[in-house]
Amino acid sequence: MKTHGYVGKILRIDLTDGSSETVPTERYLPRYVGGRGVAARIYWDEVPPGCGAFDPENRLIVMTGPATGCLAVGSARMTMVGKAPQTYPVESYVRSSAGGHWGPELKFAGYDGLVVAGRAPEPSYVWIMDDEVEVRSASGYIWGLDTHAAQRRIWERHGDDAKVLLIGPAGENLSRIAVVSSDSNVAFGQGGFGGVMGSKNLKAVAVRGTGGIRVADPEALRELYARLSYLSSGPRKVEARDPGARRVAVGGWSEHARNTAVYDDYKAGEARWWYEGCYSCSICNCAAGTGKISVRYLDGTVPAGSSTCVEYGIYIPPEQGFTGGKMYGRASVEASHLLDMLGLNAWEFYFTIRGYSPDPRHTPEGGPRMDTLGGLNLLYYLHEAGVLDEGNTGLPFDRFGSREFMVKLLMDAAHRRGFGALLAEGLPRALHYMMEHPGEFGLGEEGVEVLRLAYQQGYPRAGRFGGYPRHHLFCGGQGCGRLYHPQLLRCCVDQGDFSVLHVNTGMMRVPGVEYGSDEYWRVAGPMAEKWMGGREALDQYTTGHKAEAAGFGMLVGMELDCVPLCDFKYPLWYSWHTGDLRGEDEAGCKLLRAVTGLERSQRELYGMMDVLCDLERAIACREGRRREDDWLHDHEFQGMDLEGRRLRREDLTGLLDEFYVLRGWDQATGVPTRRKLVEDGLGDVSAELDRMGLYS
Amino acid sequence: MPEVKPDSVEAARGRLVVDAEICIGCRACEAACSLTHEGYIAPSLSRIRVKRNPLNGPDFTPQQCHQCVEPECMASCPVGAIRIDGGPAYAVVVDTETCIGCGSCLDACPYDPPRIMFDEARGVAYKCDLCGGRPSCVESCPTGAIVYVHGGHTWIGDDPEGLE
Repeated sequence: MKTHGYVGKILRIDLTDGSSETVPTERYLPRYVGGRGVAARIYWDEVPPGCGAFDPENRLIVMTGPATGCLAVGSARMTMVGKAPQTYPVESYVRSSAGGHWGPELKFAGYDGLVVAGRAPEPSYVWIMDDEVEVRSASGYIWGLDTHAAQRRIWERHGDDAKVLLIGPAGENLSRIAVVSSDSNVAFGQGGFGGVMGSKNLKAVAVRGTGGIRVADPEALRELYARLSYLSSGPRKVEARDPGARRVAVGGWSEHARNTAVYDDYKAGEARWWYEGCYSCSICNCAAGTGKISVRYLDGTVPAGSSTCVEYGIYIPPEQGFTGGKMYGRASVEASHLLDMLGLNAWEFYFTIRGYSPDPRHTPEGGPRMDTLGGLNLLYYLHEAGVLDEGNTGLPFDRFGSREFMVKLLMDAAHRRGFGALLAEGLPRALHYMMEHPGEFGLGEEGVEVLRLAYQQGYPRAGRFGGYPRHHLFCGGQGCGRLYHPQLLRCCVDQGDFSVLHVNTGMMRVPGVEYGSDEYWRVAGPMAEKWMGGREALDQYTTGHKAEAAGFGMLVGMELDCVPLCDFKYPLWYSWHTGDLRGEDEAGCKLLRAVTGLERSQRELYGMMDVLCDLERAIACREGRRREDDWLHDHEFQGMDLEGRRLRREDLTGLLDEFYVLRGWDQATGVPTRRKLVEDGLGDVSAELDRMGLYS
Repeated sequence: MPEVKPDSVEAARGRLVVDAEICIGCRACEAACSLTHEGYIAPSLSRIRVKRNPLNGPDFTPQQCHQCVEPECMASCPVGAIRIDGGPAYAVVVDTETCIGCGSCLDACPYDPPRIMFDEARGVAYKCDLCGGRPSCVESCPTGAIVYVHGGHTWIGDDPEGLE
């Protein structure tokens, strides 16, 4: 049978004996669509609830979607799924998404996905060249090397067209905050899957494919590509080329990018700066100027590489500052590129030492003064609060902001040296260790209380499935910080970290239009009515229709991980370039139709996503998650947003009640009901939950 | 066998010009090219290739056929399978019916890697034909790094008017 979009096979490798086989992708179609949907099903079938993240029986599942590698803006993506070591305190199912060029290459080699099981007897890597699959030794070759050096060696041996998915020293050392990366700055960040790869003795998966992807309707795909490129491009046009051009700006500097010390260095001729795209995609380079930006210092003192605003933001020396200052410079670039080479998760070290939120009202009394907390500023705060110093960490806090401090911190974390061994466990585990062993750090009761508050503020989800730093939470901070309940609801119920919230922020922001203005409602209102049952869903000042908004955001997130499309720009509800500012709200089903020939309306596609969200929830519940885990730390109810509004417990409780009913999940337990799962066609899943006593 | 000397043919009227400085290495051109010529997406069969070095940039270089004024591929072909097509672009093209797959054109191409390629599966050479005057790589390039120069007009792929 000729398939379109999909290339037909999923490659399975058992590292324990080095064997490999393929299974037909069709087994999972059309129900599980692709990407995260297929990966979730494989996880349900193969990873038992008691399996530890670093156990050989854990699976590393990487799935592309039908549109991966096709000509579509934002479709280079792939999803990684497995039992994740990062979730705190209980290891659990997490999915992570990445772009770049590896996913398309896997498809060109003839595989829609890869499932890795077992543990190799020695450090190994996998080389895939079309039909040939080999598990080879990585000892004395690439084991121990940073991600850049290892890739260069692989290119020497296998040709520089090979695309490599790999871990750095952090993953080899079983860090819970290690990423799986590719090229520079392409990474599966969430979950700590770098550590899972390390536990499997798997350094890299290199792939080269000479085949291709057939698509159902090439002409429709071509038209869609042109249209989506146009709609998704940023506000600026090409400068000084063709005045009538619809091309996106390249080499131009956004306001944001100009306000950096790197820009000054570039102007002084000390650095080069360029943009880089994932496969057939220009979103990052046109979106905001904070997308994927690559920097190289010409004197060679700083490793070259690429980053986004996130990674450059991990380390901002005090004299540059975040608010009002020059933001990132040479040390920021070096920190981010070093992080990339070591294979550490940038989110865990995001943001920086200066407070992001300028308004002191945002922070409750007694808590850290910064709202957006990741590893580095959290550490600095703990130092300022008198909890951490050079004595109990070995880190030269008096030189915070210097190159020396940053290099020591990141190297120690990646290699599990000294205090770094604790950091390698991720901040939540590190902070709790300190709380439980205050004597080791010379801490009194007051110090322990500071740690508790810092943990709560940095890691908002309470319950047993937290452990991910905050992001776009819209509560008590961020530059865009206004209380918007769907973000908090999604933060409560989701797995993994909170960058999932990009989806809802994308629905809220109409380009160039002030929130809440007549023009805003003219453009956004019809979208909210069409997809979320009412314009109130986008109204920040009420709790009406917020369960619908959160539920819909969840479906869109799933859609984007299955088709796949990048959540940096999709759902593409709005555009800078149309007279009425409308974008394309049905890009998913149109792309799926052009690529696979699957005839589904956008609404039907969301119906399919609803089933997949239930499957993921069933997985979570099988692993012990219940309603009581879907909650936020006390701290979230104490902070205030930019307008001085607080999140009220009764509002969140009421919205959760609504949300579970809307999703067909039991209101008391949070478990998807038998009836809903049977309606979904997931009778076998409900039977297993029943067998485990989840319905009694 | 007809003898074809480079200086006896009319030069291509259209050509692709690339600006590596603004290439973002996304390879949409490769996808579009293979889709146009092969009917499916296969970068390994694209007539234009992007050389990427993601670790030491800026280093993304679209490698296109230059439609040489004196095409050495054409001069080297023992069977006259490489000729100027009759379309508006006057592109240097391979007649795959005539091509015997000897590979001499690949050796003759002055560029490295050669801009005329070999299709192992079919045993023939293939190359950029400028899509009959509306190159799909240009059309798909999101940044305008590949432009089509034809006569006095520079096309960056948006409005097809002026292409004739």
